[in-house]
Amino acid sequence: MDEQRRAEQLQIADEQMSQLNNIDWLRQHPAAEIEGDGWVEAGNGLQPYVACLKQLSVQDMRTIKAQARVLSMLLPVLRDWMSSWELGASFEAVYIEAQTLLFQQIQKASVAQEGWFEELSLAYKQGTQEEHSSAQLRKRLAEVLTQENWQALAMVAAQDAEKRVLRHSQTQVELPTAV
Amino acid sequence: MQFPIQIETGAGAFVPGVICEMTIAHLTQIETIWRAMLQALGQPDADWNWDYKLRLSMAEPRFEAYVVEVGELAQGVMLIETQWHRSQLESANRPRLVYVEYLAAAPWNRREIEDPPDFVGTGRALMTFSRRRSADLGYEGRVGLHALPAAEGFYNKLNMPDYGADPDHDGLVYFEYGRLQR
Repeated sequence: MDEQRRAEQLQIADEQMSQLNNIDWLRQHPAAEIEGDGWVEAGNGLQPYVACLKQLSVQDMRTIKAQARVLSMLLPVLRDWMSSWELGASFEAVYIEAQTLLFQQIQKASVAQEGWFEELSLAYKQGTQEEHSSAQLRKRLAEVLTQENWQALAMVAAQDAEKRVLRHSQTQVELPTAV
Repeated sequence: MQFPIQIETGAGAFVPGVICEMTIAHLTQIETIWRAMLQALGQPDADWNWDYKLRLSMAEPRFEAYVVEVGELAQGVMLIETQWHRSQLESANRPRLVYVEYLAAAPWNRREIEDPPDFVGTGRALMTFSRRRSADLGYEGRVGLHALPAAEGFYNKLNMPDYGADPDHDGLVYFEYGRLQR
């Protein structure tokens, strides 16, 4: 394929991509009219996933949506907060562990936490997230994570750093040969 | 590679998101959060094995995985294969295409009675991106996939030509976009 033709095709594709970032265009072409109830799945391997979702009750779906909304409120705060921990190259490993631990805490929330999570979920749904300041959310996040969770995060950071150091013990350093 | 997009909320507002390559953090969300949400509601876990293929995209260059991300959370995922699949339609030379191995929206992005999904448009965004990736690879925007029955209407509304049930893929309907044209 010649380069000019490829460039023309890319231009068409880029125009289509830019429509996805154009609110006027998106208002004129609402995604809801195309996606309907949200079933967009393709690929034979996804049959069990879709079958599973189809069995959920309305209440189950509400539970899932509420959990996702709480995560949507808290994960950006968590990432922002963790970026001040000076974890360097281990940041990603610790963040991945932290998001999993946070989700586990959301799933097994205490009665007191449940109230807060419901509040967050509602704020996200109603678009009033800004009423909850990052500082407030950070303080509550610190309380949601248990002492065991904090230990687990410290362990991941230590193990990741150890792995990075030990990787160099296998390095074959080539010394210049004398001429 | 990151493409900024606007994603419509169920309430009709728009929030910024991105289409980007799937990272380990996204994969972990799919393997743990998406999965655990369903497990906790008593859904069988035995058949949940589709995410192993997403891991292939980290090891095999012919596979690529992309997500729509809003607020640190993967809202939809797409796995494509870029080397082995060819057009089912243009029989003369059977040009290469991007084949969508998987396209899935997150569990919470479904519409229920009086409860709209949090985000609408992840499927359309990923499909638009698949054509862009196809053009980038020199495949002129050709994309093929097998739709699950519940999603056939979505691909029809995207004006993706429908080539009927494919007996080699459990009778799933094969859809294929041809060359991009103005």
